Amino acid sequence: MLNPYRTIPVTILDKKTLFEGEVWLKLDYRLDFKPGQFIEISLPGFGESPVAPCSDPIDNKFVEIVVRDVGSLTRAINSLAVGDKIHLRGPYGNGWPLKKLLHHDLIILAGGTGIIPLRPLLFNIINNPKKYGKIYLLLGAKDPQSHIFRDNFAVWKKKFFHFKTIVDQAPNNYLGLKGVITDLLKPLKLNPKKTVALMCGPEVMCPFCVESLEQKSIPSDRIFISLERRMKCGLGLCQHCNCGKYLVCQDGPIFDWETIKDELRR
Amino acid sequence: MTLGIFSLTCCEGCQFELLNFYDDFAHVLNFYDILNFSLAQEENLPGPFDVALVEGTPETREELKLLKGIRKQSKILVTLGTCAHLGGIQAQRNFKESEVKGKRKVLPVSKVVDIDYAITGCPINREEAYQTLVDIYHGREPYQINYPVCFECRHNQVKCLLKEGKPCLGSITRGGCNAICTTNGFVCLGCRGPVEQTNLYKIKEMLKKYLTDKEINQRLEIYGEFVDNIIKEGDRH
Amino acid sequence: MVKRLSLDNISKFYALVAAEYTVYSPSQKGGLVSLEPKKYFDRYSLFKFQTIMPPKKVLLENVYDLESNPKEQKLAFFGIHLCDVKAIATMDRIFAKDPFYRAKRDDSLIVATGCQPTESCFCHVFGANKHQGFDLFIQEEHDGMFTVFAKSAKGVELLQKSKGKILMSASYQPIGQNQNEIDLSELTDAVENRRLFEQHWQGIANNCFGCGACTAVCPLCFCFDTIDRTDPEGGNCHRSRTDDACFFANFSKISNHDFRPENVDRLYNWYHHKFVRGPKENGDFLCVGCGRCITACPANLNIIRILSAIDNVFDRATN
Repeated sequence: MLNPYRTIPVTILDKKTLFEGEVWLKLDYRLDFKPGQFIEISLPGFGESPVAPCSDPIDNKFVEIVVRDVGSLTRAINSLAVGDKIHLRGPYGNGWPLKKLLHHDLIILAGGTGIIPLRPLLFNIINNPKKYGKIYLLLGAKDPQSHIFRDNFAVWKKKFFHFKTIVDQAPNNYLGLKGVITDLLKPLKLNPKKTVALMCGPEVMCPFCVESLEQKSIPSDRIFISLERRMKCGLGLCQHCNCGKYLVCQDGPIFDWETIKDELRR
Repeated sequence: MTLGIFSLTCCEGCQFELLNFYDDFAHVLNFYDILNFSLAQEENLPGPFDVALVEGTPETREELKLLKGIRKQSKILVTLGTCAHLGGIQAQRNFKESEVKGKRKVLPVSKVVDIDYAITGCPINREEAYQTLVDIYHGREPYQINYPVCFECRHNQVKCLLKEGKPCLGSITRGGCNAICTTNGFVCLGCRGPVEQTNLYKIKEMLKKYLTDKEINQRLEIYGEFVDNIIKEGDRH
Repeated sequence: MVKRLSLDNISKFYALVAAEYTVYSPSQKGGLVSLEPKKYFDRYSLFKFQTIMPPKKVLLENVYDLESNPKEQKLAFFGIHLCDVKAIATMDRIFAKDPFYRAKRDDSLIVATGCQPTESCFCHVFGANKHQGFDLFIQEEHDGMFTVFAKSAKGVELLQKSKGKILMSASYQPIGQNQNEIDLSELTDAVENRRLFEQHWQGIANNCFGCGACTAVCPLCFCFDTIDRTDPEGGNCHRSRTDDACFFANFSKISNHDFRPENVDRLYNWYHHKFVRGPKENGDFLCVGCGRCITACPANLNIIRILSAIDNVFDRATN
């Protein structure tokens, strides 16, 4: 029997600091994953942590991940150099419900690092423009620096029907918008019959977004949210990641709002 | 890396515990050069240290000066044992102001200088101390156990002493000692300090069946600076 | 296959099992009866009362190196009770994918025996008093003889080697039960509805240490944590699996948020897992009514009273 806890050592091919304490890593590993799934990364001696790959799932010669410096594992990963090895296993979880997105308008809401698990989906959309309707992409962040993947903004602006970013705090000379993500959402006119909402971000953001989506008559079973929990084993055994009745590593991390809204309050 | 091991006022039992099984301690020496360890070596340097281990409480002016000096000379300061962590036996003086007059309050190390980690217990669990040193060497956060003694006690397949009518503090005390006392039939005296988010109201209520209020407060004195919170928490409900 | 064995032959049968398996059996240790590896049959091997820890202690032992290949083991549990047998059956489903559990369980042998109910057990509530799931069952008869039932091929093979008279027909004595009753029909609905019982849960949490003693002894509690350790000797890293419990602070904490910050949230989660999420995932309550948590709790909490009280409040609220 194959040991599902066994990790695979992979080489870091490229490394870029996106923002203070946030690094982007390109790993030499062919990973078949669905947009929205997550993997467990680890360094021997430092433990494991779940992260979502942010690379193009079709062009899967490499995996890209973004690691934020929050604990001793992520700090150790941040201090690695190109050529060093890190360990990974996965992918785990369900991923975005691609079938339900087909031929629908998509409203995609991401707060801060919430864009990470959405980026593989954005690649998918750009590669298959005919499969989807209008794309609305709204990004919120704490300040202008914390917008990650700013290099992609030009492409996203060109390819998507509607693309806006907003920040909480910014210096006075900042030219973009200031406020919260719902400020971007409220003025939009959406077709409630054929729109699907996808969101990922801090969990406090989600109920506000859902409220304004529901005002636009988008049914709650067509609002999808990606949850962050402490997925320790990824196999549905360790019980660290449950959210009410559901195990985030098995039934999630993507849930529709109808299913999960009662569980979040539990 | 360099290591200094210091002792303030205490029984020095924790230092002896470090040396208890010299072969195991020798493995730690693969990672560290001991610059200062007056219990075990003659030539000692004043620093600087990558890691300093401090046991005991600062009682005299010299000890306070020494402790502040250690803090300045070391990158990481780790307290060793109950005295340094909570005040230990000498801290019971703080609760007997009427009997011992004119003395300063006994302060645990963390009240005098900033500490990075605490290895608790009376005496310490030496495996835990070695593990902490190795973890620090590798730049890792030392793993801190945050569950009560009860959990380990039950895993050791023994019966609950509190249920048998013995005033055991295992249910609110941090584990990591492998429940060595309770497994051998002695009640837990709480040397490793309180576990995070514990139910202090309940332990007072449970102990009331077997002890008087005064005895309960005396038993809880081991928690040192936390004891005020315990008594307050207990009364709040 | 059913055989009638004398006490002497049971003892020889034990040796037969021990020749092939590492046998865990109730053993006396310091005045207490615990499950220990034992080579010889003694009067505790068919102990009528519970061992402090269930067989999970052996099957879900801490793993030193999680990335190593598990070593296949031949274990036998001799003299465990039907509630624990049912717990193992449920655990088999949960841990089907786990190689460390499977390495211990796949070739294991379960020799169950009858028991006497204590004031804290309530196995009949969960149907854990049914004679099923074991390889062999040893039943003590009134005349001091033993009837041994073999249910599996492994069991039959072993029993054939044993002396004793083959019985053409024999029946199980029902497992004794006590007065403890819980109404299961509305239990899941009642536990699921936290809002309705906020006060009730808060009241229990106020009387709970959150020490996890109940989870340590529960045959169906299996939370674990993985910790990376370095051996001071040699400096080798290994990822180990250790016991954990959902009662501990920071159990579900991530870098910037704790999803169950208070003891009441964690306590509720324990009951929710046992009586709502467990049945949804495995089709069975994660409780067999062994009552060990009642014996283990330093705060004298009683799962029977807690669940009956919820049932009662629920009845009043819905009718």
